[in-house]
Amino acid sequence: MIVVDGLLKAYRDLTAVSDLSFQVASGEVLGLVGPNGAGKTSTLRCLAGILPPNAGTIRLGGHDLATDPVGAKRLLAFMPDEPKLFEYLTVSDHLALSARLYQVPDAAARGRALLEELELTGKESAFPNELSRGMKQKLVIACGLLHDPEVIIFDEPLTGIDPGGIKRMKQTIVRRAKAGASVIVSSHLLHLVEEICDRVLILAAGRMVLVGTLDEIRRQAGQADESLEEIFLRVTERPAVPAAGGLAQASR
Amino acid sequence: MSAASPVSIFGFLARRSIANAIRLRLRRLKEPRYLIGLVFGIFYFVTMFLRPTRSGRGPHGIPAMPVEWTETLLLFGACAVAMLVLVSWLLRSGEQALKLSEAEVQALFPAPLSARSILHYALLRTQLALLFSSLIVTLVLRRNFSWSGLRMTVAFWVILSVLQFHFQALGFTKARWRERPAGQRRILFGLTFAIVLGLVALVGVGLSGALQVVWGAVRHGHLSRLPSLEGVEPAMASTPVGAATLWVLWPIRIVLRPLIVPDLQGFLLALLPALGVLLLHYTWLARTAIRYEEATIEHAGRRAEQRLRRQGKTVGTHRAGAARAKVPFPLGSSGRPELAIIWKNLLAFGRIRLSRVALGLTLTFLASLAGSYLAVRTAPGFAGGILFAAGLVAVAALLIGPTITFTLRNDLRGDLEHASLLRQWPISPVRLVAAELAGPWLISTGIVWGGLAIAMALTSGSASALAQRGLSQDSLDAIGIETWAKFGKLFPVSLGLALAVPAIVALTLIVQNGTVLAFPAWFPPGRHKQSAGLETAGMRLISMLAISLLLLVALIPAAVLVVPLVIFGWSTLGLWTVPIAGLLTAAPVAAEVAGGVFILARLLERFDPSLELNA
Repeated sequence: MIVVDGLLKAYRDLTAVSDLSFQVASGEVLGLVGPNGAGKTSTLRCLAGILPPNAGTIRLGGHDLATDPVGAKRLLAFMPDEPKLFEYLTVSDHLALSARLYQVPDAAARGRALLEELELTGKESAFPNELSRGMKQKLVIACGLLHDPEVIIFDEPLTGIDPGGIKRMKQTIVRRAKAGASVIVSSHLLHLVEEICDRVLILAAGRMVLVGTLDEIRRQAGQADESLEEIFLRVTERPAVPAAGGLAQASR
Repeated sequence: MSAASPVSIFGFLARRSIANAIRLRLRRLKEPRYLIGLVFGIFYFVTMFLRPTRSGRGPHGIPAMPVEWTETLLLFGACAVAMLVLVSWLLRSGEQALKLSEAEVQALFPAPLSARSILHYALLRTQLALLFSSLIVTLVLRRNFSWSGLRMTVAFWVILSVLQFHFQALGFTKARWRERPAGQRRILFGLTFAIVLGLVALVGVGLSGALQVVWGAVRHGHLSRLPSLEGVEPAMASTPVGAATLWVLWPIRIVLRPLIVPDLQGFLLALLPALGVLLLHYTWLARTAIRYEEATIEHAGRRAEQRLRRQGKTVGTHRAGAARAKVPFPLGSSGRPELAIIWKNLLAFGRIRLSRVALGLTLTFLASLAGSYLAVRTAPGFAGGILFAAGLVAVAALLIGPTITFTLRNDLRGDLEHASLLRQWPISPVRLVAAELAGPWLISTGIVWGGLAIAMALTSGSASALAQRGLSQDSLDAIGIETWAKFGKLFPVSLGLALAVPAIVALTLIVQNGTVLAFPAWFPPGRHKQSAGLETAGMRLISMLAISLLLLVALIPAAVLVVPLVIFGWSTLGLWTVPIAGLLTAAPVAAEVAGGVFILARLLERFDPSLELNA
């Protein structure tokens, strides 16, 4: 389970995220959407323990990220939007590195299964410069899933992936959630969010604008027949308003 | 479950990366160009670094010297290091970044590792680089591997590590100070500034005292009787300032000492306190290194961007809006398309306005002319210095101008990476080639002509002033000023060079671009090809030899005309032979350049990007 309470992230004179509170239950997929510069990546980086927040608490699987970072991160997998790989490590080496970082006991078998699931079989000896953008993305996801995480954060997971790969990636995300993981998917592809996410959180200018299931969001937006895209465009084009219902409504 | 140890992660990454890098290099040797390159590279490495040491060398391969000298050397070395450290305390701004790559940030920051573990990983990573640097320095100084060489490597590694820890901890400390309230911050920075400035003055005075002792020994001819230098430290210790300086230098001398100790036992005894200083620095670093994440991500991004830029790949730029708006000249939508290519290639050199460059050069020319005139008119003694400066400017321009084309590659060599795009442009290959070469040619010629013009301004200004005082530059010798850079000599030589050098530069560009077009497998296209390794060094050697040979052959027709002129004309024309020789060089070379442009255009037509760029 992911619990975020009063998150504030500021860079020098810019407040990227302000007073953000939400929860993601086990087995749930939360879609995080917002226009460019809304604070999505800052939020995800704080959740992944990459950036320290200026205020607020983040709990992953019951572990406070500030007081027990190692315990919290052990449950976590973060898949960034831009895969950065080690130039001189092969696909197998990357998996081996992840296995060592997360102390995965049966890494070889799990790695093989993940490579097969993500269609990277046969690429074990390939170096990053021999992989396409989509393959690099898949490798990062394979590394992230190797330790069977309870908390999974995807930042634009479908960038550079072909249609067949997109379909399988969506299945992978849903399957992980069904297996009990708390999943956050940040994406500009609103149809993807509509399709695979149980709830949606719309961020604008660092503040939560709306959060809930699609039906709840429609009700909050006051338009019962609007698509997520229409709601998104309408609510993000006006100044940010406080989230309706706040944390109480955000968590089911 | 325990968290992964940073040593184990670093060990894994280092081991796999090195093994894979070697595997990739070996795989590359299947291509003959890399194999031949490796042979040349090994030959170069062996002849440069592994030559047998000469006799009379000391324990570490550096020339043998008595202990008294090494102690003095240690003292001066400590002064230099102290100054470096103190100046960094004055100038270095606070930075909290660890030196990690983007891949490391992405893999390690979300992983179940404590902040301390990531810090240890980053420190281990830099230690490997420092150890490698120490090994290279040892190899360059000693030219062989041995036990004493190993000692030297360890000594260098300790010195570099202490400095690295010190600078990193200093960055962290200052960054933490910046987070304090404004009042406290001002007091901390103000106090530090005052203390460090005082220490700089102290070391400066102490150093001058030490230098006086050495100078005294030199002046009295005691240098051959080396023990006289034993007096340096006692002489310093006898004055309060000198004694205080010795105290300030004490920790630095501890760190430097393992480098000068000749025997193993002494080395080990000297190493222990040096490691103690290293440990103290580690403690300082570990206590100050907190909240480094943001700065490290920013630093990793900057490094990745710099790396991409070095590889000639397009990246976002940090230039300010005004700098981005600068273009060499306004480019209209109509007119000759060649101008657009020249414009683009000048932009690749830098965001400068040609009108501003011309104005700057004109102002510098006028300032040189007026300045040298006024200076020499005030005091003829200035003439020597000004003429020396003129000579330096001319030589620098003649060196930088032609050689800059080897590194710029803002011509066909760089653009061939985008050969498919070049082919789409509605311009004939001959015009395209000529336009591509024009950019670097203009830059190179501009540097040469600009430098020579400024040198001329300096010499003619001083010549006019001397003439007004009834002196000639030839009479400078009489007033004790010796220089070859006199106007009467420099003008004809410069004129000849101004005529010949641009033609030779154009020829150089033809040869360099021709080799890339004709043999892209050997001379890869691209703006800045970054690769390393013995085989690459060997290939660079071969390419330099090939280009030099081609240039020599191309200069034969010019030599056929110039050599008889010099033989028969020198006695009558003297230095004025040079401008005529310049003209006689430029004429055949210009014809060759014209022919070369046509050949390059044919090569460009035949260039197949799909084959050549993947070779």
